[in-house]
Amino acid sequence: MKAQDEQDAYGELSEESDEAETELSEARRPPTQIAVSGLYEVRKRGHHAGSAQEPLGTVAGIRPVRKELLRLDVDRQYPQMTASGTIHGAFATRIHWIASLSPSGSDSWTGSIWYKDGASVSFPYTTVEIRVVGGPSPGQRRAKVTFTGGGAPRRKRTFRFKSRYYHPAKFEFDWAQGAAATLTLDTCAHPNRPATLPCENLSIATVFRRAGFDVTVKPGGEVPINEAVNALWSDQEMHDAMQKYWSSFAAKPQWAMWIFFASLHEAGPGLGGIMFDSIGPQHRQGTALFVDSFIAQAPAGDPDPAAWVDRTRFWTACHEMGHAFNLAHSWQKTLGVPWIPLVDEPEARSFMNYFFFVLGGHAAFFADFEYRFSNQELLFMRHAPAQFVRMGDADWFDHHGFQEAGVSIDQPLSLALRANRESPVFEHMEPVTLELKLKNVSSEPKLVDRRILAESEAMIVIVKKEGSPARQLLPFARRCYAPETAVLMPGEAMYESLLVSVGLNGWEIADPGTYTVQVALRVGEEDIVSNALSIRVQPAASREEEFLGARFFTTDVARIIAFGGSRALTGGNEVLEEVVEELPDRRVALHARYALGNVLAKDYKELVVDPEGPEPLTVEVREADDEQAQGLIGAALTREPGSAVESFGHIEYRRLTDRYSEWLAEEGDENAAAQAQETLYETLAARTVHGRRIRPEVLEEIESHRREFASKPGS
Amino acid sequence: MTSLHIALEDGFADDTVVLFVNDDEVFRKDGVTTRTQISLADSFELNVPAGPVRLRVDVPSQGVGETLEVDASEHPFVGLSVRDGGIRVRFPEQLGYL
Repeated sequence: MKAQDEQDAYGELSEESDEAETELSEARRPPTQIAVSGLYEVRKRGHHAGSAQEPLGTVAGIRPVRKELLRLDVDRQYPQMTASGTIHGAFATRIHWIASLSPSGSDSWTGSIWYKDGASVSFPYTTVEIRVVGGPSPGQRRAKVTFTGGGAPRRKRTFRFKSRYYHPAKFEFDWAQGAAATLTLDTCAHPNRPATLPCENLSIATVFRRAGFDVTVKPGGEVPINEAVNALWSDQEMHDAMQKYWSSFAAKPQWAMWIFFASLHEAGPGLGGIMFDSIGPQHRQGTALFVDSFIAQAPAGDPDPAAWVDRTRFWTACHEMGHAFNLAHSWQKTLGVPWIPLVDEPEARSFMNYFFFVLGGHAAFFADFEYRFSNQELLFMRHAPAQFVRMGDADWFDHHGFQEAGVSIDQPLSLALRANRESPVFEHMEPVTLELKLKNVSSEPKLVDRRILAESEAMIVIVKKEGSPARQLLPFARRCYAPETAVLMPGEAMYESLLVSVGLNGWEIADPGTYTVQVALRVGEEDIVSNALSIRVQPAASREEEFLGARFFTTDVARIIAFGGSRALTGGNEVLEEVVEELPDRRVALHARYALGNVLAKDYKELVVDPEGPEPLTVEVREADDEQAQGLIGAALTREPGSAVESFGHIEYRRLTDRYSEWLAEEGDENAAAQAQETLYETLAARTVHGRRIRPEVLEEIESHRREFASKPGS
Repeated sequence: MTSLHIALEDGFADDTVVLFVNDDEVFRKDGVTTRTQISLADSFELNVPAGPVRLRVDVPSQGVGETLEVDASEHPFVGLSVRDGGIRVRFPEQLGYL
């Protein structure tokens, strides 16, 4: 039971400005006598960054800040003299920082920030100062934090105390028929123990509360023995039992785990326990220990074999649960990919060591063991980025996406991402254009901005090649439109095309292989997250194509493709001309033709820099080349319309063809304009993707457009 | 003959492991991979002559190997790990993993 004066409620905090807060003057404020460590929070709704108080910058779209957390770890159990914080921005954007602290006064600490993760370019600070103010009641407690250094203006935040714990944790203990669950231990039952060890009836829950977790234990129960074969459990059988019997099972990261007590694993008595959950997309949600394994055999001559077995079972449960928190064995810290440089601790008196591995064996281990994790482990559990610790979590975007997004369960809008083709397979060098569909899935009309799907500010696009880290697609240009509200009726949807191959960082989709793309869209206060779409890029069809690809995948060509052409990037244009000549039947040639032709369709203004001339900056106009433009654009859109509509996507193909028709009409060739619309109509009318045909109203609009051109003089 | 219990523990990642007893190949396996949550990749028993024997372990996929002398009557359990560019050997009283 928590002491009453330490209780604090979770849940939404009311918004409060610093100006409205009552602050005690330095002279009147008494030093706090009670512990101040724990979780603090500031949550600002409707506040946009960019003010003097919040210079978070603009890189990676961290603004607006939705929520900011502080974990202050300077007292209570096993203090690590550390502060960490997490700043949550739109969608999954976040910054995580960690600082080591030294006392700098009464209830004050200062220290260097030594770890950053996330969109840390927006967080240049190197030093943090923390002062805790307020009365004895946790509800009055505030942490005033000042960030300095890194060449940025001083940043001040005031956090409100939320909890003495750093993270929640929900445990459910189940047991197989005939196996007993050891959830508590009399720490003084066995005579071999540290002389200073307090005698108590220690629970597993208390072990993890002392590690900094707000533990809740859900009632467990018995799992029928017939779930296993011959009462020996395999990993697969335990995983199935977890899904069936664990009341909190969910295919998502959560601060919750299932602990299963069984007799034996099918591997035999040499396996005392295992964090078995390495199956499926969410790992580390389930652990098991085997009460009749070697852990039930006290060493010969032990002064109290029954107490030894009880202690070992209790210890093993905490050990396996530590693995679910992503803790490695004490001697393994440098193996794999540690989150920070770690040191092996082969002699550590920690739950994560093997008590029989240390010098002197189990006797030496338990003579020194205080039923805790090591400082290195506590630092990780309390202060590492949550996704490294939380059960079911994984590397960024491996098997999940945007779990930090403000996604509510009952969302009135859904966002679908698709490649409008039978199979999401793209040719080598073919720019990847996908389509977004934002649909009102509620029973009420919804107001949205008409151009929300075209606004890069409202959207985050993540691209991940298999085997590589996820990357955010940063658009070359950010477009800001005047807001224009549209009404989406129930069941109605809006659509937009999305080019995902290229961005500020160049080509995000280039090499052959499998990619996953996912989009999050900010609509009001909510994040709407799309499905994670898997696409495949084929290898080059020839050596020549492979060699040309090396010259194609450049930033210049990326810009040309993204902007629909360029007259200035002559090197990139030469590559596109070579693509048209050498690979005329490949889909990349469609895009190359369009980009080359598009900029010839009108007079083109070019800024010319001539420092030696009478005017250092002039604007020259390069005249349009209508004939060549029509030849190239027409070839791109109408020569092989079936390939073109699939490669550009339905929405973009229609948009480009409409623009082409408008241009032709402006040039006086209404007949060609109508013909282009005719081709568009026939192509889309013939199109079926996954059994879906183009909506009749779309075809009607195209036919209407065609008639308009056909009816004009000159057609 | 007597039994020698071998455990391939930490540091194996899709490796080939070959064991020789007195120059006779007695074990070969591909794809040996440590389950890091229990620090165990594989375990098996070898029938070896009584008394001291020469045990050689090779991990050609990592270019490491080690030769050691072991008497199964004194050390019936041998734990082998690949660490820091070499083979680490331990002689536990029993094999147990958590």
